[in-house]
Amino acid sequence: MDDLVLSVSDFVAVFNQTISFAYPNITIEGELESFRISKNKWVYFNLKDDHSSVKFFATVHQLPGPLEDGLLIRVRGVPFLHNLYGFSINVQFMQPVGEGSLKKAAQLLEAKLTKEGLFDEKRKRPIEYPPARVGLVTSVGSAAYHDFIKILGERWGGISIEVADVQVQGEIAPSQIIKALEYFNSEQDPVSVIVIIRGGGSADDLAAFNNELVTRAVATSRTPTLVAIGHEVDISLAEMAADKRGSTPTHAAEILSPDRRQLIKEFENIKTNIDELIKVSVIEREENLVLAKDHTNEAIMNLLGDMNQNLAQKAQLLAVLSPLSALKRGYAIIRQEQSIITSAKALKVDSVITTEFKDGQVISKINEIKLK
Amino acid sequence: MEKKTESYEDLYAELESIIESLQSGELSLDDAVKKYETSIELIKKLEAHLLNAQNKITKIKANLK
Repeated sequence: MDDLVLSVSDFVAVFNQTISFAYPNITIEGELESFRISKNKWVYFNLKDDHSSVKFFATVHQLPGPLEDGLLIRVRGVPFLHNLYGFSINVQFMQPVGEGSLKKAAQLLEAKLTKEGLFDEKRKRPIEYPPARVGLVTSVGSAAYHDFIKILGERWGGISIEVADVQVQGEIAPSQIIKALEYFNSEQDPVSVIVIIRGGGSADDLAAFNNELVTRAVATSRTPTLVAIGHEVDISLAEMAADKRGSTPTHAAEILSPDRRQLIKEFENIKTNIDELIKVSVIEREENLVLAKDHTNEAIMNLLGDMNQNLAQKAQLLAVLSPLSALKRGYAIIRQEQSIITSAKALKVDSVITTEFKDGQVISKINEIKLK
Repeated sequence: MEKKTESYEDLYAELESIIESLQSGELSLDDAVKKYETSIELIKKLEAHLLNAQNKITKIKANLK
């Protein structure tokens, strides 16, 4: 070994070859220091612990969001000796770790995106209810997926669900979620809503949903979005950026559609109501009929009453006019063969006449006629 | 008079308009009874729609790596 003398460039080449063979990539966790972004493109920082500090190099699109010194960061990268700038680790993936750092990083990102208006209420769009087609972004093996499908199926039918099976945690999750959003947004006949769901987990498990690129992809989705991550208490930035947030995957299914069991119960009520409407309609008409009958009866009774009274008057009048009443007063009626005789000229001597009194008849023969 | 509108939404809209006209109280008894019968039919169809419809699940084939 003592004899081996290398040029500087050869050393760099040999070193890089050796190290990349030994550590094709390596994951390091440490506290962020000297974090800076150059020309809005290059990212330089160190990770340190109590005894050591190592340089790292990244590009801005590898950042999970805004970061600041002091955060605990996990980096996967490739150790690399630059021919001019020395040793650093080229970042392939980086992510804050631990609840405290994740929370702090999420706060930084929230402040940045709030300033940009990404979470504004006025950006929220309505979601078709119930949607005809759903683009579902989740892990198909997860309980979240099964809960969502089960609850949605119980509540509603006829929805076409297109599922993008993605990883919802780990290094690949953000890019898969973003690609799934891109896929659904680029469909010729776009789905009604894109639903992103994931069950509960630790802050590290849910980190993808506080990732800046994921949050931006949700916010800028042309298709309306519904995002439900973790349990009720977990609120991720992706959820805040969505048009609608579900507190859990089950809740997301409840937001999307009415419950058919509920509707069938309501149909029972509607049936009762229209039964009632028809009954009322018939009863009203029956009542009208009874009323009309009463009116008719009354009118007829009145008419009959009037006629009775009239008749009585006529009878009275008749009684006065009756010749029989004249007989009572001492007059008599003279008849010859049924004809009433009102003139002496109508009679001849020897004719037989009947004189009618009130209490009987007298039949007599005429002896003499004296005309006036 | 039978229309060829069989989607849930169309059936529901028809039911709503019938209920409205029943509520108006301006129908003749014959019409009201006819509408009533139609509405019961509509509810039957709507319930069948609700009970029989299934969601369809397909997995997309796009490469998400």
